Amino acid sequence: MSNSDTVRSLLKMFESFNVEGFLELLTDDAVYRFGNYPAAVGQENIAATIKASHLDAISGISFEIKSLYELEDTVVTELICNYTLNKGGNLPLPCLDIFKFQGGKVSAMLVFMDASPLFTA
Amino acid sequence: MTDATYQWEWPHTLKWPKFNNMGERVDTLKKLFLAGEALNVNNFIKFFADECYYQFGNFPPARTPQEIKSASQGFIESCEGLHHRILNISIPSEDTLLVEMVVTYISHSGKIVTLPCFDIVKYEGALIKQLKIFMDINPLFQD
Repeated sequence: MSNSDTVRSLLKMFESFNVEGFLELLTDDAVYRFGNYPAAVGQENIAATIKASHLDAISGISFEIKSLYELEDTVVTELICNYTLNKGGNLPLPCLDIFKFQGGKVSAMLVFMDASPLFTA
Repeated sequence: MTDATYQWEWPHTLKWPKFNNMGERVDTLKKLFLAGEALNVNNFIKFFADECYYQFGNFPPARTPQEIKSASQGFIESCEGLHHRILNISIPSEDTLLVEMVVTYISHSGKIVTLPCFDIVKYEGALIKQLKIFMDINPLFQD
C-alpha cells in the first residue's frame, strides 16, 4: 500500500469514527497535532485529543480531497472537511494535513485548520 | 539617507538562509513574506497575478490583488509585527510550493502568539496565482 493509500484509508477511518482502526495505522510513538492544540504523543493521548478537539462536537464527517502531494516520506493533502454538527446543520471547513511516514505507518499527523466554528456555529 | 540609496539587500541571505538557492519562486515567496512582515500591503499585493485566489483560514477568498488588500487591511492594522519561521519548503511541481511554518504575531497590546501555519503557493510565470493559508489565527484576537 502506498503512503497515499494509507492516508485515504486513514481518512475513511475518521469518516466512520473508527478511532481504533485509525490508531492501527500510526506508529506507537506517533505525534498528532490539531490546529493550535498542543501535540499529543502516543496512541492513548492521541485518541483522547482527537475526541476532545473535534469528534465530540460532531455527529458526522466526510472529507473531500482537493489535492494530494506524495513526497519522499510525507503526504500533504488539502481537504474540505464537511462536518455534521451535533445540534444539526452542516459545516464545510478548509483543512490541510501533513502525514509523515516511518516504516509504512504514520509517525506524525499535523492538521492545519481553524475549527473554531465547530464550537461557535 | 535618500530614497534612492535605501534599497533592500538582495538576495536576502541573512534571513531564512536554510532556504537559499532554491530558485526564483522561493525567493519571490521570501520577498512576499518580507512585505508582509513590513506590514506593507501595497508591496504584498504586487506579487499576485491580476486574477488570483487568496484564501486565509476560513475567510472568504479574495480573487484580485485589490480584494486581497481590502481583506488584509484590517488584519494588518491589528498587528504590530510578525515573523514567519519557515520549517520546510517542498516543491512538488515547478509551479507549486508547500510551506510549513510557525508564524509569530505581536499585537498592539504587546500580546505575542506563535501559531502553526501551512501555505500552498501556486505560480503563473513570476507571479503568484494562488495562495492558500491554513491556520487558526483566533488566539491573536482572544484576551
